[in-house]
Amino acid sequence: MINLVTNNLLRFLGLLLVQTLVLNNLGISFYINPYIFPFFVMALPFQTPLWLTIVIGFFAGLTLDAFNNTMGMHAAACAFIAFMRPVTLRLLTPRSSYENADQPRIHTFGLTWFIAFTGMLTLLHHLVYFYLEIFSFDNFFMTLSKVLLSAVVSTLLILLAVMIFSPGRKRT
Amino acid sequence: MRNLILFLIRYNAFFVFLLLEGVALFFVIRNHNYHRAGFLNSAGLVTGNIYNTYFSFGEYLNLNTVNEQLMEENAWLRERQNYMLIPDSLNTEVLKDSLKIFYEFIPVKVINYTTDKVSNYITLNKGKNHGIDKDMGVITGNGVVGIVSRVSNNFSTVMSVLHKNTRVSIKIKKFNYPGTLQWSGGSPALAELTGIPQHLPIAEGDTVVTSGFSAIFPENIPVGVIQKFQSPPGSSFYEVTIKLLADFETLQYAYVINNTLQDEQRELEKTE
Repeated sequence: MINLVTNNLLRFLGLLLVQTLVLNNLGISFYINPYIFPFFVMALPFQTPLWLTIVIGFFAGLTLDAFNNTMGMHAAACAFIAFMRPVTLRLLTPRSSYENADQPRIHTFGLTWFIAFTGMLTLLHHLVYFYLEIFSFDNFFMTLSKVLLSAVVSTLLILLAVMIFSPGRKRT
Repeated sequence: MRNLILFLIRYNAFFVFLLLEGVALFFVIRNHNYHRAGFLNSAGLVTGNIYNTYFSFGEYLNLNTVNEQLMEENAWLRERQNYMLIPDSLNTEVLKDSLKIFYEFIPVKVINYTTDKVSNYITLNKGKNHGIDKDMGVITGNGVVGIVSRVSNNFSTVMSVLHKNTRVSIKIKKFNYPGTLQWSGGSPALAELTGIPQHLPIAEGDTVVTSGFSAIFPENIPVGVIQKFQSPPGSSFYEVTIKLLADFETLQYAYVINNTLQDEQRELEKTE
């Protein structure tokens, strides 16, 4: 239990620092703003009650908002993907069942499942976030292309981060 | 009643979701209307100090560029010093009162900035304790950068020119004709002008400077250069795109401008 809390806390801090100090300063293009922070919400233990996931998502988002001067936008987007997480899990059928699993892992569910899971939630997060950021539907397609391009880059970055940091793969 | 409570318990997560989304949207809408950063922002104690520490690591990387910019600025200032001018005995100049300072310049370091968002902010390493206050203008040696939106004791956040809600009162130097500068996403080097009527014979390369009307910036601070313009049908105004002179990609040092008479002007204009 304590191990679980520490793990998630470390993941939260790590993602927050990488997001605010590295990714936010990339400035590659107006159309590519990767956000890997939402992975913290996606990777919360599956057993967490839904209401708690939403509350955690909200406050995690609010922390990122404080750094980005985007008051409320990340909070809204992160609470939204917390709410959508069970729906996404039900939509996707993994290689093995969700029983005995605590969180999304590549070696438990397979690479395809993992990309689909993080990709869908990242897309949902970016949809909410970027439309809230611009706060209008003028330039609808400009924002949409921003959502799609950023979601692709974010998903790849999440995949990369997980591959680097995933703890000891099972040896066969 | 009992059914209602059961209903609430049954779908507790959904109601938590609705409540928190409501709170978040309230924050978003409030800040959207008030054109300023929220109460949680990058000028806070924790956020500001993290950015400050991080800035001290990266400070050395841009030193070359910064040096060049400072050299240019020095040269510009030297040109304007009196001993460099050839005295003109025919020029009857009105003497200025050196005791009355209209504009104070506070040198600051930029400890965090973005350029790729829709609403870009800049964080400065000085705040209320150093005389910085809300609504002061921020410039670099090259041009206008933004307007201070929020201050804490030791930090402040600036609404960059690259923010969808920032408006700067400008004029086209050649004609002295006023207009408004705004930015609506896209390249951090380009911005738009509004309110420039089509009867004005503007040309590519015309200089755009601040108008000095708004009491935030002094008159004639450089803003940008007209890059292209077109006349949309059915409108009496040009669509003007300008190239911004301040380099938003390598911001490191800037000046906050304190107009000591700003309050007086505001007060007077308010009672009209």
